[in-house]
Amino acid sequence: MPDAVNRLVVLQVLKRCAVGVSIGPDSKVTLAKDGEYETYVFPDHVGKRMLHTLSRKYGVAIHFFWHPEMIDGPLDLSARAAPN
Amino acid sequence: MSDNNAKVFSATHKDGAVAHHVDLEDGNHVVGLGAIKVLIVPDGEYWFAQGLEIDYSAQGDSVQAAQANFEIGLEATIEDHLRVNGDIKRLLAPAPADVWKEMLGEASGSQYRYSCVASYEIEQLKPYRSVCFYQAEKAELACA
Repeated sequence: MPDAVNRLVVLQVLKRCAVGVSIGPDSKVTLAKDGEYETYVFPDHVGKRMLHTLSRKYGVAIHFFWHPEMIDGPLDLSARAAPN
Repeated sequence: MSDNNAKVFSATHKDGAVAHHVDLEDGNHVVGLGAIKVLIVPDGEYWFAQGLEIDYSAQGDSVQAAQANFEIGLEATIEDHLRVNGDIKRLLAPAPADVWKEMLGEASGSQYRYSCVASYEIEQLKPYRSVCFYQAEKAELACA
């Protein structure tokens, strides 16, 4: 598991977890959730400590940053398995 | 600029950090932060800066870059709070105790005390009129 995650993936994960993401100039990114706003300067990759901070502050499961495909969870096959 | 109706807010932390906000009520604000403890520790190939009396953090490719990004980002965040809330009270929450413990327990790294005084001219004290959301799937910006 790489320590740092591409900035675009991080922003995608945050957005899919209901965090408002606004990209400004000079690598500035404003994040918003529940009326709280914070602006960060993100380089191309975001390190593990910053990811843990984002996880703590915005309630995003930390493993989503490395496995964004898990955000929607496994397919729900219950409806398909139900008898007609 | 008149200071006849200025509102002054001040807060102090037991470790010596201070925060002052003067709202001049004409869209102009002056914010001063003093002696905010910032710890900068290694994070893989990066450096990570964490404020303690203010729970704000940043990263950079070097100690100097982490420090610069901390200061640039925090000043932008102050402006965010002034624009949305009209004050900085919600910004002044310290980092959680476990973060203090973790950061102060780091064997390597450095620390410094951050202080600044800055003025802000805020046109209107309300949320952003237009927020641009990034859509990674399409790699483009969509403005609401």
